[in-house]
Amino acid sequence: MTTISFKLNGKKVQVEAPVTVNLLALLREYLDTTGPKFGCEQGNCGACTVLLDGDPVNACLVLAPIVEGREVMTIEGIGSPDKPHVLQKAFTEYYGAQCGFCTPGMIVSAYALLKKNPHPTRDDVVNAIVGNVCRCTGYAKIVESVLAAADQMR
Amino acid sequence: MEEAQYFAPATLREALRLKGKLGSGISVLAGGTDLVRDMNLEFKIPKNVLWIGHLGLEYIKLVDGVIHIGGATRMQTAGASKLLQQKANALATAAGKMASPPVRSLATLGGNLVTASPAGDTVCAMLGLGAEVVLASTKGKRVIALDKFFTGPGKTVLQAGELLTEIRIRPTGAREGSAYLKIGRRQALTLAVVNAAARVRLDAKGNCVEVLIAMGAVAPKPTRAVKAEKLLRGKPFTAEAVREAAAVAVTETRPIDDVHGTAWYRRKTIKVLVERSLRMAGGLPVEVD
Repeated sequence: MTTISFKLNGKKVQVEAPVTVNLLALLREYLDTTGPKFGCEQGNCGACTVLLDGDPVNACLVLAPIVEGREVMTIEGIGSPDKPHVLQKAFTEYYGAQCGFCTPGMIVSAYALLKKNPHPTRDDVVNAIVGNVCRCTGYAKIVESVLAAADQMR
Repeated sequence: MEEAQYFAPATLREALRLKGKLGSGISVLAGGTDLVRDMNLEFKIPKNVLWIGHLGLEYIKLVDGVIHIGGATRMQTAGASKLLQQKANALATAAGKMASPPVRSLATLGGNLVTASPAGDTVCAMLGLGAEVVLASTKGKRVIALDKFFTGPGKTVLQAGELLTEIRIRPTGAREGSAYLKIGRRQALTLAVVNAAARVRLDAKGNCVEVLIAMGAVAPKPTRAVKAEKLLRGKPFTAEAVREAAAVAVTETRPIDDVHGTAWYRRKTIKVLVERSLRMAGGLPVEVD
């Protein structure tokens, strides 16, 4: 076991866990942060995408102890049901979510893109979400949602 | 079974001491995109973990005319590097497109080399650029040319007590270029069915004075097409010469049928990739006529 201290969605947290646990399990099972989803566990699906020091990462591929002293942001840190982020509103308005399983990771990837590039082209959006697999929407509505959010944020 | 121990040393010296002491009993964690996946799938249960993210091994700099890249440099850093884009384009291309953004902000160049997949994206690019790697241990350092580094699928000359600390690449200069190309089953998040990289330097008259060709996923390890290189070296760099060389390169492959593609398909496509990457590296039009 090891003690891991880091910033989660702006708040300092401290948690004790086995050293072999990955960040996704740490968030979901030890910190009750269930926005990031458990998908493939191989970095192929993107459902667990979170921000680590601002960069999108597959939480399932991050060994939890390496987040010591660093900052993690999940979908919960981007917005809430009461105060949704522009991206989250756009996903509902433009039908970017269907079953919703990929949506937390999708929005985290889109959020990382818009932080870096407030004027994305359609290709920029596609390249930002290639690591997030969606089996419902066919992606067109997701790309539209992200472009709409980018428009509204400007 | 005893619980694994996690080590995150702050200095290379301490990391090498641990690696020297525990050898194969300690698994090196760089980006984690291979190791943690293998742990998740229970392919590998490490006895101990050595994280090398605090050793200052993420850098890309030009020192005395050679590009020095830290072993723990991440794909996104390499892909965005102006120095690599201008002076080692094959590597910037491979690193910048590999897998997906969330993987690229974790995965490292050193990790890609040590994993030693015959299909590794940046592995092929670095082999085609003629890179060298620095292997460090408590006993000192040794520098190995990348074409002597791989010994088989997932196997390298790296000893149990050693860490891959640096990659060195000669920058491309005037009338010199490099290129990396890949065919996957889709555009992103996919293993290369085949990949190829080339580095070409011409003289003022358009003769090829230096050429390197690397091919991936067509043999048990990433492979140089040395016969094809020999055919091109010292001769006018023409579309015909490039096409002939690509045909020779195919004879230097030993592809297999697997779930990603057939040997037949790999032979057909590697020829196209070698030809195109040579054209791109040597400044010929890329449309294959």
